[in-house]
Amino acid sequence: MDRVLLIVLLAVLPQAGLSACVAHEAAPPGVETLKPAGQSLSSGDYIPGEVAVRLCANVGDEQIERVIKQHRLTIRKRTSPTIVVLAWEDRRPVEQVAGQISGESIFCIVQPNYRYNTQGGIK
Amino acid sequence: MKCTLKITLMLFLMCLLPASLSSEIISSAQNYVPGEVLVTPGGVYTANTITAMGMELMAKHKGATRFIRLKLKPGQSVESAVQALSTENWVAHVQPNYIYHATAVPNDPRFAEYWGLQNTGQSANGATGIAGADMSAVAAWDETSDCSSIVVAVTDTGVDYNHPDLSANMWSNAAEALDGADTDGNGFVDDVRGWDFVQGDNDPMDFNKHGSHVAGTIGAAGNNGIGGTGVCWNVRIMPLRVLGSTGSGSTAEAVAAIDYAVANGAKVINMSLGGTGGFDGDLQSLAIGSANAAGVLVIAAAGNDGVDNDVTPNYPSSYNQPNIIAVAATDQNDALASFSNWGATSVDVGAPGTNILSTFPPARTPVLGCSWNYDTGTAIGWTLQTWDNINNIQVANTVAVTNEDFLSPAFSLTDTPGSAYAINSSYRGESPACDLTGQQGAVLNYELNLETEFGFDFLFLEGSSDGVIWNNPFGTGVGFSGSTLGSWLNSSLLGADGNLDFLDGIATAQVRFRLEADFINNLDGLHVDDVNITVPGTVHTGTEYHFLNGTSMATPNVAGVAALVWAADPGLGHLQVRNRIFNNGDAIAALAGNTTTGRRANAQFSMPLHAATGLSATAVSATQVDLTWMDNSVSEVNYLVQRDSGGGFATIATLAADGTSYGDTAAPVGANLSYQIVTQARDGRTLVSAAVNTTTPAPPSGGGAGGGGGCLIPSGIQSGCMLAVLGLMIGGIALARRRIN
Repeated sequence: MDRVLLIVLLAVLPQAGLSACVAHEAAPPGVETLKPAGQSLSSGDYIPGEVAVRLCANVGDEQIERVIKQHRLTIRKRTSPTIVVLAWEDRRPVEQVAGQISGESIFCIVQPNYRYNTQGGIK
Repeated sequence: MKCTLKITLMLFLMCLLPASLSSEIISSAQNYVPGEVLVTPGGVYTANTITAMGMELMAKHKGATRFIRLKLKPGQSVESAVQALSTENWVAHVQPNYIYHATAVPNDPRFAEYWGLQNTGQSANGATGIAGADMSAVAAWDETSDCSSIVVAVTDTGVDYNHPDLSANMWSNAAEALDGADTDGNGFVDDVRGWDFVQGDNDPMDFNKHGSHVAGTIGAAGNNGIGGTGVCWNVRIMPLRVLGSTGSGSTAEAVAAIDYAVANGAKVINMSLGGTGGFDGDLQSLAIGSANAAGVLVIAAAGNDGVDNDVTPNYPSSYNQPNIIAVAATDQNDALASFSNWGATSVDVGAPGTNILSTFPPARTPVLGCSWNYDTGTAIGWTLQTWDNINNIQVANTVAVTNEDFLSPAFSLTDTPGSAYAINSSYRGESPACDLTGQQGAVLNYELNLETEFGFDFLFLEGSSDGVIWNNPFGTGVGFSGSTLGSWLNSSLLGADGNLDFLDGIATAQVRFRLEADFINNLDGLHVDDVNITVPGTVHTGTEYHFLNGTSMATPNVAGVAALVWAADPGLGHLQVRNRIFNNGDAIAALAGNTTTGRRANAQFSMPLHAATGLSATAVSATQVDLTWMDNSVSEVNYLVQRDSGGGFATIATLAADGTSYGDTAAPVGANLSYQIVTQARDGRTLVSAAVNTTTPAPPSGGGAGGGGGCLIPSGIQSGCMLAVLGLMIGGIALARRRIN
């Protein structure tokens, strides 16, 4: 099993073409992440190029479209009426995007889209 | 007649005891046989005595506790018969014929392998352990095994709701209709059986295996004669798919599922998942906080990294929310499982989590036309390319099938046969299109032998519906880097199957292996073999049960116990259910200092406590009062026998669990006495029975019985008189022997 430890899934910067993988700019997960104001900071495994947001009450689709276009974002998925995953294709890190949109009144919470895995299946 | 001589005095004493002393409190639970009672004779009776009361002698039972069984007159209640008989001077004791249930062992053929429910030291998956290192589920089931009043949400990879051992216990949304509309207005269209938050539809089918295994641990149908059983034999499992086919998901799915579970009636949410990302106050933490406000428990896996969660938090189990029970895994020897996380302040309890047998979906099968092993020595239909990354141009291709290394005979696909990959290069192998029409839950499985510069040269796995836009199932920019040290590793064992559900239903699905090398340090690169796109099987053969290890497996054991407790004691609040589990587990050394409670969950002792009923006190001599009562609890740890001889109740004996009788051989002579039984639970709960009264006779004046005084041996016990007296009056026998001798 020691051998398994020597091969790992790592994240490089979001790729905007072939060159993205070439430079020594790899940013493995584990960097400090942005949190809502007043919250303590933490670190952890999150999906690069995405943030998860909770929409505030009574936010219309037009408002959402306008805001995300303004920030060069797209809706990757909407898992419930109020939980939305926003994504981007450029190289902006999660912290930067989260910081940019956390001031928007339509978003009550903005955070990294943390990754979770099953905790079983060990043979 | 020797026998008669020996017991002359004893019978005299018995004759002095009015039958009314045999007080009886009949349980209101009606847990006795209607139309009959049991009587211990204490004086002369004949068949006419019985028939005169409209009753009928059914049987005589001889032995240490001899009694007769009477059939009541039609329409007579047991209560009235007990009342009537208790005034008869030939009756020493009368009581209902209580019903005892056999210990609730289910008839499921593989139950013996469920060591977490009942550990007899048996072998499970080839391993044995210590008898008793279990959750005492069998004893708990004597209280109840039916959790059908409880909805347990399983936020996981989905659930195989067609599994024969799960289908009967699936939740259904009665307020929703399959009509293409959001009938119940909960924001989800046609969510009749839960929701798939990964793909955004109403089909929470499990395309992995994990969620079905978890669901089966909570509530595989019990005593149905097939497979195994869950902690609950009946329950309502709400399947919420938040993890994809390869077992990975994110905040967005988990939070939406928690919200859904709370809004749609779940009382318990099982979260056999985790990750390092999170913080108190994040989306998931707040959602669990809302669940707490709604009275919902969240049972969360502590994680499988073998680390201290106090130092390295694992979410959601590490959130600071009162309704979270964070669960570590224990093994068959009550040791902490080798992989299990722990935390003196962040992990609450342990539960069985190794060699756990439970339900699986049917095995995955390769899709026809979507498997490639290169065994012909060629990569038929594959597009093989090499690119110069500096100039972003395609160059002479080196990607090829080779026999220099392989897993299946005798070829594999590699970037540069016979040499290391070049710097500043990109190597691509694109599969031909394969047809996934009508398929769901597609996964890429492969064998890999890799050597790249760690952290700088990467292998990316990708899928495409058109050969133009390629999507990375692991997330944008996530790839493999490092070395397998010359060995072949299967992607499943590596935890690196590619989730291709974004290609479900696509007729032109393709996969691609892409190796990217930077400007320095070139190594051997990629070998890949036995590439398969698989989809879930659909046919159940009865063999869909497998063993798994993990805190994921421990977590549903606790969720099941929570459901059991709640079903048995529906008046409890969610934090009371939590406390029941916390305070009634088995204290084990492996969890001391490693969890907040130091305990492994125990279903039996978490069950409700019931007061003893049917307490009967019979003064059988001047100094002895015999007590009997009904043991109505599975969760008691002992009984306190208390006597009040005028100054208030005081404990005169502490008995072990399951006790139903006690002989007070130090009763005051000629005294009016009251007795009560206090039932005690592990967590300090106590319940007191109704008190009963009796009077011990004063010592006979004149120093003897005078030859019996007309007191005859009851006709029903003559032939077994010695045995009967031995059972009733041990102290008296000693006295009688002294007289004879």
